[in-house]
Amino acid sequence: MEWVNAIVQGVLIGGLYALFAAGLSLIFGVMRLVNIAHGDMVVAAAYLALVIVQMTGLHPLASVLLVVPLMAVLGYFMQRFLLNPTIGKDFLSPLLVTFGISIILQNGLLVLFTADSRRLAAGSIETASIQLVSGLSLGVLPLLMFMASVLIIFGMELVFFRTRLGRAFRATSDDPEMAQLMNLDRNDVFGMAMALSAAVVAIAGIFLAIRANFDPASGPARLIFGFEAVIIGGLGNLWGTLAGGVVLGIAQAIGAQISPGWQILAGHLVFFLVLGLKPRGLFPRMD
Amino acid sequence: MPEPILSLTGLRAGYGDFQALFGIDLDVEPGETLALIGANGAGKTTLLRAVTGLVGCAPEMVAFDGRPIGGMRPDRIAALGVAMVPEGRRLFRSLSVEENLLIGGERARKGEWTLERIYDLFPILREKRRNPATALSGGQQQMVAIGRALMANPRLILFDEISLGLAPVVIRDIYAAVPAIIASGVAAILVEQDVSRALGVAQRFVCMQEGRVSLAGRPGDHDRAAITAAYFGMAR
Repeated sequence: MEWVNAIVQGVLIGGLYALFAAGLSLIFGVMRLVNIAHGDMVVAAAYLALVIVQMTGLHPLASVLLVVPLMAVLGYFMQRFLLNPTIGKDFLSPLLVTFGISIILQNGLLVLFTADSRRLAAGSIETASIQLVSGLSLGVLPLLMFMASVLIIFGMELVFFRTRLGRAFRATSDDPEMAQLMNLDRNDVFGMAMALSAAVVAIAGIFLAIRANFDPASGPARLIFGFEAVIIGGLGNLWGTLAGGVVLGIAQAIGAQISPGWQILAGHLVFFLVLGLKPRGLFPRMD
Repeated sequence: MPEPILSLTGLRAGYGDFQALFGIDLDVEPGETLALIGANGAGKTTLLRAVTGLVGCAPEMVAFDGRPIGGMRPDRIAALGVAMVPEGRRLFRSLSVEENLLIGGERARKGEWTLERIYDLFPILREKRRNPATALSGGQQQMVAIGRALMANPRLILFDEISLGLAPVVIRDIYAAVPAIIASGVAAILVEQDVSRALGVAQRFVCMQEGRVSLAGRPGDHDRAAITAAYFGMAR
């Protein structure tokens, strides 16, 4: 039962990893940009939620209402003013800019909040649980977060495949030059993609802040988990990304069950295994 | 003489150090079809790319409706009413046939071309509208590319090698649609390898050679020998 429990917890944390990964996957899909600052954006969103909760007294989960639009707007302007001017010539320049943003975010957060690790207390819901059978219970909060992650990924799929904005995303991804001839303002399409990515990042940041301790240097590890989930799941497939997150979560949980020191390593090993056996991921959609 | 819809004045353009166009002058009247002919590497595609903003040039070198547009952003030029059917079709492969058409109508000008009109022009596309665009045959894909350009209700449409790589019977089907397109009042530049086909539908032609205009006029003005000479550069 201990092992079943570990796997169930792994599945639930996998939802969070999928959230880290979904925004990353969107940005890569639409503009072929690897956003090195993605993990730091998650952590910045966590701090933003912390400040908002402290200032307004809102419940951490309710802070979504403020953090999501704020992050989306910040993401849009970050894309328009920092990244768009470098996009299109070669792939290295925008990559370096995101690397710079990553460093600035980490050090900015350090100045503002010190290196102390923080946590967002969500009250009694944190300890609530549902007993499935004796010896196996599910935390209400992790379960809610997992369901929210599935819903968000479902929502992103809808946006991508059923809306005008999603059509513009896919067209730009297929052939950026032709997309411009379709009267699409590339700068705006990219801005909207980053805004959507940042909105998902905001939710991921709040969930991270409630589930775990975080500090200004927590970003890069979230970026790695996000990357691994994207690659395991296969590029261009958000449901695959969810599966990738779950695989990573289970691997880490099983690793932790063997020995606490194996938790992170087991995740990386499974990632390498998938990369070695199926380099295009488990459910690839994009070439 | 009506005001030309497109006017190129001393157009020079190229890619990096490579110059492809050396001072092109030409006008397209509203509603007119101009055939642009010339051998491979004559600069026809570069000319179209300069008109659509995909290749930079000085503002006054390209005037659309009397307004300098050279070097403007491609999406802004598209918004003025310039649409292109590119060489090789370049359909969006993750979009269905219908989505390809709809995205052509993104922020479109008002006009007669609607999804229904495109389906009337190319009935096969109605049947295949849910298919991925790239699952269609070459000729059907070309129909989608033409429909996608028409959806913008453009004032000027640029056809780049629409018969390239297609079977003769398919080319005939595609060209059967051209009169309906021209009748809608849109001006067109038709870049075509098949010279007699191009001269058959155009009111005027311009022949290019090594980035310069080598001959221009009405199809009846010059005999085949003169056109061939201008095409291959044997006149000098």
